[in-house]
Amino acid sequence: MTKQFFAPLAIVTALACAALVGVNVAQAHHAFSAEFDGKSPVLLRGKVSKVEWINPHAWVHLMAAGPDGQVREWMVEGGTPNTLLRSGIDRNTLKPGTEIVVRGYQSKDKSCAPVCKANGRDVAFPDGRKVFMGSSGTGAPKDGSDPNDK
Amino acid sequence: MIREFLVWLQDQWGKGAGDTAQSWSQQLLGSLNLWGLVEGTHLLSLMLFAGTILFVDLRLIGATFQRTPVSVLSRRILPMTVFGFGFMVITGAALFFAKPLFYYHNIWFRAKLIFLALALVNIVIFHLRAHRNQQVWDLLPKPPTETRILAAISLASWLLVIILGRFMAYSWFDCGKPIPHWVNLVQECKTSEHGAVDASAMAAIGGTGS
Amino acid sequence: MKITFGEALPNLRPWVQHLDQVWPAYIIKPQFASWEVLHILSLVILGGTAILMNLRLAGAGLVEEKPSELYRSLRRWQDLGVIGIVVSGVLIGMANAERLYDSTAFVVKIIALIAGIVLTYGASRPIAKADGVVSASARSWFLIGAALWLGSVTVFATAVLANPGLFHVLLAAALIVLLLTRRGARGVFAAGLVVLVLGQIIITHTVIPADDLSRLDPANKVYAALLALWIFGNAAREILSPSTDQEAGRLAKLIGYASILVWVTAAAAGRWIAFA
Repeated sequence: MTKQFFAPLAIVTALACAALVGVNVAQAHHAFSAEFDGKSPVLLRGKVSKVEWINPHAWVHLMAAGPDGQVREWMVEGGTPNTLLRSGIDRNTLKPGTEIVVRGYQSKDKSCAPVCKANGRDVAFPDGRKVFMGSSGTGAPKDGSDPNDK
Repeated sequence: MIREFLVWLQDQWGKGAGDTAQSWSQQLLGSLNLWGLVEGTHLLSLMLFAGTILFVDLRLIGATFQRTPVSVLSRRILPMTVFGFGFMVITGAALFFAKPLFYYHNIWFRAKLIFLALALVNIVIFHLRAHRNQQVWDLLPKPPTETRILAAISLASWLLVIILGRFMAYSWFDCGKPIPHWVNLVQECKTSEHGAVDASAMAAIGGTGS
Repeated sequence: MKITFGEALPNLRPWVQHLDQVWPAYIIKPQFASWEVLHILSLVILGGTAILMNLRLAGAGLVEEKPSELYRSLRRWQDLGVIGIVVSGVLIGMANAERLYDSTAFVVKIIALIAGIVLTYGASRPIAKADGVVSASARSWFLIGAALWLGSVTVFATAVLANPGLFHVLLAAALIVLLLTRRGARGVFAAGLVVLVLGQIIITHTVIPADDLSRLDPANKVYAALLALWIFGNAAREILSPSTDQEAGRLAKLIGYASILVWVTAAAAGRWIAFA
């Protein structure tokens, strides 16, 4: 009786350990990093194609030229709707077609599959307004764009 | 079929008239504070649910509260555990509801459901087997081996449910990204909005982005 | 001015910015998810021990056993939970240092953590060990810990982006009061809670237009105040009412409540770091 149950127990425990170890090994490859690369700043100029006004991060999609000059679709991470709203951006400020200039940092995974990803620091509008769009202190470098970061 | 239902759930249900109308699912996902509070409650309820089931299982293994009869401990603590589980299920369902297609096509979520089912089946097995003759071992500091093993399986499966749940938040295996073929299969990425991209195919093409 | 470590100790910024490059943070950072899981598991252990031991002080839960028996069985697990959460917290904190440095929710978390350790090791555990007797030293530590906890809650309230997290503390307080309230009053209390919570969700999502902060903010603040009044009013009624069959002294009951809520506060602040 006892020997029968050792197998499932051993399997489940091994799976738990494997999950933790496997993820650690996998995370060693940058492709699996959830982070953004503080050494890869980007300046994206283009028209908003889509806004995902969602939790836990809003995403702004736009067609823009990256560091290599090629125009691609970018998705830029912002703060929560709550954070954005209190910075002065609401879901209508980023309607599709709006021309914006986004300053941010590209993801560590630079394969741009399916689209290029960046963490947005600030966004500038045609009327001259510049607003901080990231969540404060995301680990992105202190670069003066966060009014809370002085 | 499930997928079609989830598409309706995510995009249609609760949608009013007008171009800016959103479904209830979308409204929850875009809410000011509610989503954050639901998610936070899901995490914090672990203190109540997992924190108490931990000690019931440890008693069944014989690792703690050896001087307390198992029946007494269970009677006092399990109602709290079940109450906590109710919170986990309600908040969990709400979180799934806010983003159903994403989780449907997510390997960590699918694995989490499997181990959740395993944990619940294990409870049924416990009631059908070990619990039957509980009065025999109720007072023992170390219950019989079968009980101890079922308790260990319980702990291990809930542990995995928690770990897999946390990993759901990471985008390593999102559909549309170049990921291993078997992951695309398990997640059914082909039918998803973003499609399936095999990592091996990407390497063959030799392309990377900017 | 925001209440953050960055505002209080601005000279540390270069050191903080460099922290994810020093050992062991540069090893932890690419493995962040796994170490964060250990932080969550420590929370489970800590939460379980805090709930069981402190409910017993308040006269609920495993009432067949004396508080000293719960102390005996749970103390090493609680130590494991506290050590685990601090060690894993330091590790993932180093890997994410600048974000925490600029976070008010993080300040709340640290004050609540200190309050939790003071309340747990200075008051709750000694009282449990003494089967409910509150010594002078335990009372003193309780006062210090409670003051720190109230301080953390006050700072939490000032965090414009993170203060919705206070609703987690209110919910936990409501559940404790619900458990400890006697039969008849329990139904009334629960009904009041449901009316308030449902009312808030409905009004802030239908009556008031989305994104209208000028109306949403006051509405949410009013609801938070009403909930707090309802919950703590009932708690006070329970604590102050003449005990019938319960041996738990009033102060021990109060210390039990506080010693659970302090950890919930720390955990809630911890979660809302990421939302702020």
